Amino acid sequence: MTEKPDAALHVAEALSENKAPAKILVEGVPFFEIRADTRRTLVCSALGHLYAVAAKESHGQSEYPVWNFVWKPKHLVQRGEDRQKKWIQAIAKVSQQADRFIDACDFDLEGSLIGYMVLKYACHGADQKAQRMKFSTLTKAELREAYANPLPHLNFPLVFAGMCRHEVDWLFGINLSRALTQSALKVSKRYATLSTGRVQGPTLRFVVERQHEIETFVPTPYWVLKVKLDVDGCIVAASYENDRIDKRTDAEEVVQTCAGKSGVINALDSTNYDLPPPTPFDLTSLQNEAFRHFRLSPRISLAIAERLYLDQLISYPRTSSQKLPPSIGYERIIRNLGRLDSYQADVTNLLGQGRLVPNEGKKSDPAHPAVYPTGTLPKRHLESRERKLYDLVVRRFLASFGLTAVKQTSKAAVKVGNHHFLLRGSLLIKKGWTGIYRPYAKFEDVVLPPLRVGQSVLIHEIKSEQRLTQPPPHYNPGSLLRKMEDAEIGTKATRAEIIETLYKRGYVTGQKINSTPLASRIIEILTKHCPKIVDVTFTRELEAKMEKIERGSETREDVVLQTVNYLKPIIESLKANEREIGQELTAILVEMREESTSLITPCPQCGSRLRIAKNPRTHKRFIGCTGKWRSGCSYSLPLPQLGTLTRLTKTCPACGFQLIQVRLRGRRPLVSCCRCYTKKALSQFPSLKASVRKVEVM
Amino acid sequence: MAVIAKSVAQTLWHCARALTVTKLVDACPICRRPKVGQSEFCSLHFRTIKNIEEQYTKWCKAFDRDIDRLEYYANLLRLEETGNAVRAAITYLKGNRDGPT
Repeated sequence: MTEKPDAALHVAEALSENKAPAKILVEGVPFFEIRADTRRTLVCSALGHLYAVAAKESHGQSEYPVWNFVWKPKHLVQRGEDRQKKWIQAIAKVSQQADRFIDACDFDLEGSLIGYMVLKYACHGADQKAQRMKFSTLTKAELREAYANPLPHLNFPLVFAGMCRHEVDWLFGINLSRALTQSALKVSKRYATLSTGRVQGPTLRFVVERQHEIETFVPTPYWVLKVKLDVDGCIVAASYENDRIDKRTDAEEVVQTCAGKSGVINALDSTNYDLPPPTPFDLTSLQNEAFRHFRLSPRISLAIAERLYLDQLISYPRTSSQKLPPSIGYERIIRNLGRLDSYQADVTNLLGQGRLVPNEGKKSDPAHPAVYPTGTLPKRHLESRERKLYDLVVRRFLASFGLTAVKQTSKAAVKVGNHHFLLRGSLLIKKGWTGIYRPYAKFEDVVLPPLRVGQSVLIHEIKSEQRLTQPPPHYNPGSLLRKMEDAEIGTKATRAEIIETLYKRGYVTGQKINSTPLASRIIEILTKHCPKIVDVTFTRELEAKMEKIERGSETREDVVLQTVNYLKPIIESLKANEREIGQELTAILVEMREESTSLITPCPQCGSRLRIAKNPRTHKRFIGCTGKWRSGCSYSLPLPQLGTLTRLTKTCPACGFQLIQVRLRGRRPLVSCCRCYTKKALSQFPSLKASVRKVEVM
Repeated sequence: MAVIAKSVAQTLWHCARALTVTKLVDACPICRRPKVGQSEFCSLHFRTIKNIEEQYTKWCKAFDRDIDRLEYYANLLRLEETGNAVRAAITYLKGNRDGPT
C-alpha cells in the first residue's frame, strides 16, 4: 500500500517483471495487479490521511473544552471527504483475501501514520504482521530492492510520534479555536471562523510583532560620507572609517577638513577566503532558495517538488537531511545528468576533477537523505516552474561536489590628517563550484589598482549624504519559514501549510507579509489571557518530546497527558473570560466587516461614508450612504446582483467614483463605475429610474 | 408613517452613539482600542508615543539644536519610513499641543 495513487502505479510498474500491471477497479477504486508465478500481488494506495482525530462523544461544534478523542474515518469527521469512504471500503474488501501486507508509504512521520491507520482499521489489524518498504526515490532499482528486502515490521516509534503530533495539535486547535470562535459568536451573534493552534499561534505572533515594529518605527537621520580617491589617476570609491556618523556637524567637519587634501596609504592587507561548496538541499533550504530566486511560496515549491518526486526525477523532498550517502551512486547520477545539454559541460568538469565527495551539511534525517536528482531524465515536458525547481535541485547537487571557490579581499587604509578612509576590493580568484551553481550564486568583483604602503592618494571628491534608519523588513513566506525553523517550531512538512492557513484565515496578506487588525487583536487577547499559547517555549519542548517518541525514549500517552494538563487551566481561563474576549473580538470583526464593505469615495450628497449593503427584505445588494440614520441622506446606487464584487483602488476617470469589478464564473471580469452607469441608465431607461427610486425610499 | 419611522431610527442612532461615546472613555483616544494599565493609550500607541519621544532627543542631537516639535512631527509625516501608528499618533499629538501624559 502506498500513500497516493500515482505512487501506487510507479511501485506496480517497478515490481512487475515483463508486462505492465493490470488496473483493476474495486468499487471504483484503482488497484494494480502483478502476477509472478502463482503469486498475485495487488498494489493499492491511500488518499493521504484516511483517518483523523475526532471528539469521542460529539456534543456539537460549539462544545469546549474537549479532552477525549478517538481516531475516526476522515469522511465521518470532515465534510467533503466522501471519496475517502469509498477508498476505505474497497481496501477493507480486498484485504480480506490478502495473506501478506507491505506498507510502501513514504518513510516519514506522516507516511508511517497513513499506512499504520489503514492497516490497523481498514485491514482489520494487519498492522502487526505488515512489513515495511524503505526507499527515498521511486526509481525501479530502489523500489525493487526495498520490496525484496523489506523491514520485518512497521516503524512503530515513528507511527506513535505521528499519532502524538496529530493528537496534540488537535487538542490545541479544537479547544483554542472553539474558545475564540464561541466567544465572538456569543457576543456578536454572527459566526466567524477564528483559529489558532500550537504552531499557528507563535507563528502569527512573529508576524504581528514584526508588523508592530514597522508600524511604531520612527526613522532617525544619520550621515554617510561618499568618497572618491585619486590613485595615480585612477578614481576609486572609498569609505570612511565610521560607516555611519550620527551628527550632521561631525560629518560636515570631516568633509571640510579632507576636501581636496592628499593622504597616504599606511596599511595594506589582503586575505584569501575559502568558499566551500553549498550543502545539498533539505526541504527548508530548498523552499528558501526557491522563494529567493523564483518567488515560489513554500507550499507551492513543496507541491512542485512532490510532482518531481512522483515523476522519479528527484528523491523524496520532505527531508531534513543535508547528507548524501555514497549508496545513492554519485557517479551514475552525475553521468546520467550529463546527458542533458545544459549540464554536459559541468558534468565533464566534475568527473574530470577526480574523487567525488559531496560537501554535506550538519542536519541529518534517519529516514531520507538530502534532496537529490535521481539521474532519470524527464519523460514529459516540464512546465516552467517545474523546470526551474528541477534545475535548482540539479545544480545544487552538482555544486555540492564542486571544488572550493577562493575569494580574495583586499583592504587599504588611507590616512588624511586625523581621518582614516578604507579602500576595499574583492575578487573571485578560483571559481570552483560557483561555475556550476552560477545562476544562483552571484559574486561581484571589485578590482583595486596596484597599491603600495606610503603611496600618496588625493581626495578627488568627498560629500556627506543624509540617510535614515530603516524599519525591519516585512516577513515573506521564505523568511517566515526560516524563522519557524530557527525557533524550532513545526516540522519540515507542516510549516508551509501553517503559513497558508494564516492567509486563509485572513490573518495575513501579501507576499510582503502584513498582519491584519484581526491578527493583532487575537495575539493581544491570547497574550493577555494565556501568554503561554503564543510563546514558543512550550511548542519547542513538545517538538523535542515528539522526537524522543521517535527514538523510543518517551511514550505517546505521557506526552498527550502532559499536554492536557498544560492546556486545562488555559482553556478554563479563556472560558471564564469569554464575554470580555468576545467583546474585544466582536469590535474588531465589526470594524473589519465595515472596512471590507466601505468605499473610498464619500457620499456626493452628504459626504458620509458609502457602503455596500444588502436589503434585508429582498436580499439585493446596493451601495448605500451611512448618513441615512444620522442625517436622513437617502443616496444609493444599484449593484449587479450576480457574481463576486471587488472594490478596486482605481477611480472612474469620468466622475472620480471608486470602480467595482464584477466576476462571474466563466466570464471575463467586468469593471464598471456604479455612478456613471446609473446616470446613463436613468437617462436612457425610465423604467429603471423608478426602480432606483424604490431602493432610495427603503 | 415613513416620517415617524425615520425619526425613530434617527433617535435610536443618536442614543446608540451616545452609549458608544460613554464606553469610549476607557479606550485609546487614537484607535479606540482598550487602554493598557495606567496609560492613556493602548499598548501599540503607548509604545509608539514612547518611540516618538525617544527618537526626538536623537533628532535634536543629530542636528545639534532644539528642534521645534511641530517641525519634528512634520518631518516624520513626510518620511515614508515612518510607521502608520506613528502617523496616527502624530495627528493626535498635533491636535493636543500639550503633548502626551
